[in-house]
Amino acid sequence: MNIIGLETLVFQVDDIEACHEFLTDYGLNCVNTSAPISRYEALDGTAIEICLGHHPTAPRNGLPSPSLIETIYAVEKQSDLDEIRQELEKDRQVSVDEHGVLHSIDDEKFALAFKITERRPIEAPNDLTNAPGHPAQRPVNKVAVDPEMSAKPRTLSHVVYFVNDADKAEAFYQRLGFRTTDKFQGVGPFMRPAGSDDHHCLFMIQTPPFVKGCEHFTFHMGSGTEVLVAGTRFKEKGYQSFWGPGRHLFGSNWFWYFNSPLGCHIEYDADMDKHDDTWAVRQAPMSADTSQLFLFSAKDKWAPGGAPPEKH
Amino acid sequence: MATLLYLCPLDELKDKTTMGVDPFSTGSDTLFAVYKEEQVYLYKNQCPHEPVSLEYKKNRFLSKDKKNIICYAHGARFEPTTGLCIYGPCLGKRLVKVNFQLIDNNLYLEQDTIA
Repeated sequence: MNIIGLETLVFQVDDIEACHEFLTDYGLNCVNTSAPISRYEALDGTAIEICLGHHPTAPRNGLPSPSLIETIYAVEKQSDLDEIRQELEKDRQVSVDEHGVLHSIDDEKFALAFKITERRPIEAPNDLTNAPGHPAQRPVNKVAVDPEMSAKPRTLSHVVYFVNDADKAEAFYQRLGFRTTDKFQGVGPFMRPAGSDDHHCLFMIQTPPFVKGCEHFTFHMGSGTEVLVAGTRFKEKGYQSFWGPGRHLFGSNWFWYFNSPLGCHIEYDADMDKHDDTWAVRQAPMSADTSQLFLFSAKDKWAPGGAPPEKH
Repeated sequence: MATLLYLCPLDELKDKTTMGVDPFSTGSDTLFAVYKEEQVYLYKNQCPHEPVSLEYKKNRFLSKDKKNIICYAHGARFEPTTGLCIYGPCLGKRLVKVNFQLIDNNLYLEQDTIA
């Protein structure tokens, strides 16, 4: 079951206009606003979809709007879909819509879908670094910093769920070919599907039954610099930073989280570790110390300043 | 007598329905005011679930229908008039109310009442 990662996340929302402004300010391209669904794409075509009220085809999860209502995973070919269908039909219903997309639910009642990917190649420059001791990546006379530089979300990275039984949830995703890369003890696993080497595209946090839904989702940016540039621009538009910018320990990805009108946090991330099946799962308690290598806290004004005193 | 700190004009709050305010010049809005049914309510901008700000953008503290205050960090919902959490991870807990005075159509914080 060669799932290659996330293709689309679908949200029900109660303020379409606010979410449109939010997602386009975040950096996604709005490609369709025809009711009932609006679609916002990253550079590779992975996307967020929002609909006012409930989505016509997604199963109901019972959560109030705004909330995540369906997680759509990508595969490369029909035989992958056939394998997933065969596995899921052992103990749950699977429906196939007119586009050939499979729909079902996981053990925590999160709606899932699986489709053949429509991702396209990413056309964006690499962020080149010059480090003493190594050949320069950036040629002579090529400047790194341009105040107008583009910093657009490149591809859907990961989604994080609140779950009531993390062990059971982990076992379900293992049935779909997901591997656990690391674990926060007593909290939940970071998992990657078989067709992706990213450290995680799914993380789950065990919570009491009254805490449900999605904690956050994120898109990969091109570099740590792009996380800082995009996050700074977002903050300057008035959006509320929740955590960051900083760099995680598990996954090593840069992060910057913001509140959102989608019912969960949104994040910018970049430069995540890659793993294969030889990787040994690490375990640690979840705390600020084990979650961040470093954390910046932005200040608008860091030192007193002003004109020099008048001379008499 | 209470020490008063200026917050905002009442007319501006009426116009916006909710407003974040930063009376201590911290660089972020530490309090927010709600105008509902011709009454003003002032709260600390801190969720009882985690000590984080509630809004997702400047002055965006309410649901679309303006019936609830929403913490846009984890989706908790609160009654605007009581601060009681009616849905979410801090169910049954309350936002911290802060005392204020209305003088000449302006809102002032009673500074001594805030920890």
